[in-house]
Amino acid sequence: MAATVVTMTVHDDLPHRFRAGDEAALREAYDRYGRAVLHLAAGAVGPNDAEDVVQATFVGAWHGRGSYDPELGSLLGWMLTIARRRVADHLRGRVRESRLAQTAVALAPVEAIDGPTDEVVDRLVIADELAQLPLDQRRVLELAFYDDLTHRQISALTGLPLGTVKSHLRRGMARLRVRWEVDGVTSGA
Amino acid sequence: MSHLVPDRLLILALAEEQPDFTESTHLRSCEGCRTELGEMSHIVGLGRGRQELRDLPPPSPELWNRIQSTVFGTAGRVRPLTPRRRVPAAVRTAAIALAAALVAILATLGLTSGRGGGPTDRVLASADLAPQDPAVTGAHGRVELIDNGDGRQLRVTVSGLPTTDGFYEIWLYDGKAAMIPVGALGSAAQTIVSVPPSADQTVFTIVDVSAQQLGQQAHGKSLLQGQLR
Repeated sequence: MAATVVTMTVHDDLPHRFRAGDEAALREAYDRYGRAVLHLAAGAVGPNDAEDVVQATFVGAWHGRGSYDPELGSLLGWMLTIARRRVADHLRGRVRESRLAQTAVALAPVEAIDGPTDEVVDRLVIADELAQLPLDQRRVLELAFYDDLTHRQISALTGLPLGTVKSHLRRGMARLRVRWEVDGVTSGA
Repeated sequence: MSHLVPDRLLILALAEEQPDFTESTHLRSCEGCRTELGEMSHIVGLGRGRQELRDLPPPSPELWNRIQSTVFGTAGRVRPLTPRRRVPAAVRTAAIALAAALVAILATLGLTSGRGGGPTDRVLASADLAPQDPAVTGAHGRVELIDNGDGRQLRVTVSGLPTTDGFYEIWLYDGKAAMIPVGALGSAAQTIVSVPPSADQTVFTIVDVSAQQLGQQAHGKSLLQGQLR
């Protein structure tokens, strides 16, 4: 019993352990990203079928983990790519079942079906990166994003010098941007 | 005029200020600055959109069971855990206080002795919590990291904290960049919270108690802190 909690690992090992087939990594990935995948799926296929998409995504990701390269992108980004494909499969299947516009859908490019999920993917990716920022950078960005505070107000609230607030914002934004360019789908990268 | 400097672009992207006349003129004629501002504004928009993602409902526990049985077979070798739900802070505070009170009662009755019967609690580390803020110089606390046989817990006792309109949150901190919220401080004498199995005990060695506003997810103001040893 106690042995199950002895094998503790640092966050950032997860992508590598997932790829290596560590079974506990699947559970951890699900805990971290299940919500995000469900959100993407529910927005695209509706709440009733969303869990089927989530299941197909995690099962597919596990079986296809050999094709994931942690050096090329985040685990979340990769899983959301799989989720988008499952969404597209699902929508195609649904249209086929309803015998509507069969030919049109068969010929439609995947992108046409994926379109509405692009922004959702990007928001999920940015949210994930925000969560991984150093604490001070994250706090400052959150105050600017959600509380609409000015640089000066953030400085007054946190007690950080104005110059530090600026550099936290700049560095934090730079990291979000790099992540968006790597994992985002609206970046055109 | 010259190009807009990154700090200025960021202020504009955050819509903290509007571009003045000279800047607007420049932005109209300079594709580089325009693209830069456009991309930064887009990132800000994506970041702001994250707020709604904070309260996403978790997938149902059955879904994990389905995935697990598909991947590993019905027996499943990975222990199923119930995902932690995000609930409003006030409800969470009340729930944790209630849970802590129940645990305290059960502990008194000798009922929380682990699965197999007989006390299995093992103190892995402990720390004194010292004031971090001039406003709470009279406050102090004590925390123990316990392995109860099923997982790790923090048992936190504090005294001298003022009453608050918000709540006090307990965090594990790696001393550098990462903090893990592990639960709100209850009103009972002792608060017991679970430590996520993935939180490495050798990395997250600092326990922090912060003052939080209701609804505030990010770490607030540090009031008490101590190093687990």
